[in-house]
Amino acid sequence: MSASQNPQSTGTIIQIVGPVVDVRFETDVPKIYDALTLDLPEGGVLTMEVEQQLDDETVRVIALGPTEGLQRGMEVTATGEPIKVPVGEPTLGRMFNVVGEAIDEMPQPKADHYWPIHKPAPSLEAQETSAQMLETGIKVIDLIAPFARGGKVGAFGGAGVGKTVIIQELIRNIAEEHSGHSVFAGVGERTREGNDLYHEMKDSGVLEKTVMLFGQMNEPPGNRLRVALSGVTMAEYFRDVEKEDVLLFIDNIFRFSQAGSEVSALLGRIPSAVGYQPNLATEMAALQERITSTKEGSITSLQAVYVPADDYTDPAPATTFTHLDSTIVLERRLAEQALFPAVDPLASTSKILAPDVVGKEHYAVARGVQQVLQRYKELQDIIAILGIDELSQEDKQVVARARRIQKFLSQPFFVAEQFTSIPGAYVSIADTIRSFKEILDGKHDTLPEQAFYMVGTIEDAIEKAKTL
Amino acid sequence: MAKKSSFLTDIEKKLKNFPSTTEPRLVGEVESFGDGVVTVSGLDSIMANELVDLGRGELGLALNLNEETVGVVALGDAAHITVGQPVYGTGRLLSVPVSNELIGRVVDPLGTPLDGKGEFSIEGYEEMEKIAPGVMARQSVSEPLQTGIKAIDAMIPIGRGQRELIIGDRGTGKSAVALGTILNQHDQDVICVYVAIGQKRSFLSQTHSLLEERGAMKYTVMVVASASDTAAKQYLAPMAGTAIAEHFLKQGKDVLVIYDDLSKHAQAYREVSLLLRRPSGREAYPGDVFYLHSRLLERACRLNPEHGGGSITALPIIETQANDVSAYIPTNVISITDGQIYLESDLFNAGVRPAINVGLSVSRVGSSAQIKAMKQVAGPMKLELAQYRDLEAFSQFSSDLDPATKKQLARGERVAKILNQGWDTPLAVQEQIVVIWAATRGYLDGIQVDHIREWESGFIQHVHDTADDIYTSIVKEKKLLDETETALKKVVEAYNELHPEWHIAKEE
Amino acid sequence: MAQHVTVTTAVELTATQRKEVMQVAQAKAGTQEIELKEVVNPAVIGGIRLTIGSKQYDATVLNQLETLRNLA
Repeated sequence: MSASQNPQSTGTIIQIVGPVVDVRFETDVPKIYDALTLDLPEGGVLTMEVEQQLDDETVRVIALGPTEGLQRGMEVTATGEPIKVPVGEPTLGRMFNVVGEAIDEMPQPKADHYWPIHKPAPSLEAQETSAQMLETGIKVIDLIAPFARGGKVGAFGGAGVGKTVIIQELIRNIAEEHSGHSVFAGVGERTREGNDLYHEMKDSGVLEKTVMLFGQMNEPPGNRLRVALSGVTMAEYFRDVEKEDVLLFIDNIFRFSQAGSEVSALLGRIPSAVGYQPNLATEMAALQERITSTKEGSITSLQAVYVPADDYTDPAPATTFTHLDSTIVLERRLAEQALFPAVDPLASTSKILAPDVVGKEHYAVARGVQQVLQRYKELQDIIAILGIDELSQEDKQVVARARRIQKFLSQPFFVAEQFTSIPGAYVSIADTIRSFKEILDGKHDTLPEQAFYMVGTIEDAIEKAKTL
Repeated sequence: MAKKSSFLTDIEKKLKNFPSTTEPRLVGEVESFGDGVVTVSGLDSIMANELVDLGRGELGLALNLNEETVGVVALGDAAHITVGQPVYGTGRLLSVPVSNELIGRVVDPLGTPLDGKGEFSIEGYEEMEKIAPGVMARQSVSEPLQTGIKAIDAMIPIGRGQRELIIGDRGTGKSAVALGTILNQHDQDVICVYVAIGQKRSFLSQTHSLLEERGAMKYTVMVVASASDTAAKQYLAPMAGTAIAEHFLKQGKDVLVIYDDLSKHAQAYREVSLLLRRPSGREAYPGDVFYLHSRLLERACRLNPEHGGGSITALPIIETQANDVSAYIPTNVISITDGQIYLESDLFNAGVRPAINVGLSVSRVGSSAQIKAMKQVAGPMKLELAQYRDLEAFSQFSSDLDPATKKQLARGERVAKILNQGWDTPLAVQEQIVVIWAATRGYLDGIQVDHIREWESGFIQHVHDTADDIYTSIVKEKKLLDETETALKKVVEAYNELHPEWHIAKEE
Repeated sequence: MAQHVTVTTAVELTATQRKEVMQVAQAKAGTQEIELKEVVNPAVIGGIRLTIGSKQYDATVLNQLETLRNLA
């Protein structure tokens, strides 16, 4: 590792307020984003990252670890370069923390290359947009908000509506099929889920082609702020150097912005709307713009996006929408009715839901389904006040079909079998389109509503109807 | 004059011995003091989060280590503090004294006994701030934590190492659910830590008496920061409780920690934060109020044998305003825990006690934390209840329903009624199972709804008296064998014969 | 930069004591440059308290009494 500055340059801590530390250097003040290290008295190393230069001898840094026990006067060493993480083949099947240390209780892998976690995004010319659908096996997604190969998908939802479950099902359906490599970044979520996921991936064989990183909600804000960058860096290596099609899963990208807001005030910035950091948008863009596909290779990314207090106008999720190609919007109302996955078919979107990408039939069926549901939504008020009997025959039919479609959009997941006690179902796009088309055409108006709930194809619904 | 010269020699002697007889203390001087925050100069080598001796036995916490001064949050009233007075470092990071003798005691977040039973021998100090065990140290949750409450153990089961939120408006019975769970741990080999934050002293005193009377203090520690304690102490209480739990976790034990409640905790933290002049965000809470609770609750986990085994199960309580579960703090905690138990005032007022909304409540760990026998009966019960809820809306409008629907409604009503339970009468899992079995198999269909309570307690006792091996079989096998079900059928039929006065009169 | 040192005694120091205090302070502080401040406080009863920067060496009788009281 080469350094542009004297790597032995040392400084002293002069201020500690939570995770934000001020360090004074006699000479060679480190640059922004340089990593500093501190040898802890009880053993181990604390890494810190420079965020600001306060004057010609002082820098303000974020600690990527706990600051309890630190004292003013402690000595800090400048590494002369940003945080670097190992990249490439030696990282596969391994689990890392934000600074690239192995945390799976196996020795640190010997990597030939270490990349800094801060990099500019690919230029405009280098961008590549593919217009090819990536099948997920989940009806509501494939029909209404299909994924694009090399595209960016976000699953939005408040607490407890099923974001992580969808990400897990997608890992199962896509990553297991995918012959290339995957990177999973656990950002600010539950450690228990990280443990469960690790073991599932190990058991299913997906782990060997995956790199896992964790900076979960038990860790200080600096870790949660940077672990997404570490994950993206590892994915970029596979894209740019190995020229691969990489899958990148991030659960949960909101925590990245949340961690930013936790340190923002301590970094001396004036709070912006809802107390967020004033640079929320640019900070997010710097990360999101790197998650993209280039002419060399592609990154297909799936990001879970938490919506605080169910408020979609919250600056963090609101700003995230712009960066995505498809959005899966999860609705609490649907979750309460046990219509899982609780995907809102009227709010979810995809840039590739267009006839010239997914084909005329797919497009027509998707829009047809949305129209029926939209009409049903409009009729709700009339039904509530006057009752169903007051509707015209045509509208009554719409209502009947809408209710069947709503239930048919639900699907048993493989990863949720222990909750639903129903075996998971993978439905191909062809079967999805065909099934919904038949419902729209009125072929199954006589089947009871319940037959459409938690099944795979239309044939499964017909079978279920026999048992009711 | 003679006195003075003995003082002199005294001083000279001390000066000669000086370097070896005295250990230096870290000292600082109070520059200003107000609103619970002491600004101190000096304390050069103080550690971040070190406890500071403010004099008169009062402690403070060094939270802001600025270049020239230190911001110390007073943990008690510290009304005696004056500008210019010295304060001392203690060399100890924020920690609580721990000991196995804590069981049965009531202490404050700094480990000071509050029950008048004297000191306990300190075995060590546990740091209050810790990073929770990482991915590799854990094991998935698969052992049940029995609350003794049918609605929970059957439908929203909790496992050891899980975090399950209890959430609802005030007066819906949240604390009762928590305390009922403590009562049920009498034979479960689980140590309980009840952390009370911001509660009235009268409530705490009643709670303590109750736990004493019921013998629960034999396995429980109470950590208390009442409403009249400082915001700083209330802020520390949950972390102190968790640290105490970790003392037992290190011994490979299973611990249950209840945080009653985290809404008050968030408010106390907001107060401390604003006094430290840290900027605020949504609802004036500090930007890191999520992290406050996430790092706390992440310490509840199940450890794999290689890392010592044992578990900490957390039951945090959150109070909502007007049932708004989409508010900031509630959604924060919902996004941290592994499920939630919703208590609703409408249900409470309608006589459903515990007032649990089974349809909305969730346990993300689910049935992997149930013994097979419970799974066998809980599945059918879930189905009955769901169908009952669907039909219930109709039943209010139509009186001429078909016999099938009427039967469904009657069954559902009884199954739902079975879920009612006195908050302080926990049932062992085998008792719950036989009752649910009888209800879902239709043995209550012929019993008048008003007598179901009596029927239940009588039945549990009856099985005990006449067919106790049913209980022993369930406990031993952990599942319902065919012969057990046959035996149950006999017993329940016999029992129903014994009480014709409860039967519904047959319509001619 | 001179190291600030405060010495607190019950009665005023004699010249000899002052010299000895300076020597101890210089040894403890690791520097010859000492800015000495003398405080007379009868409340300490006897003995001496030496504060060098943030480090306080307390050999006063008052402190010994406090220690005994805490042990009881």
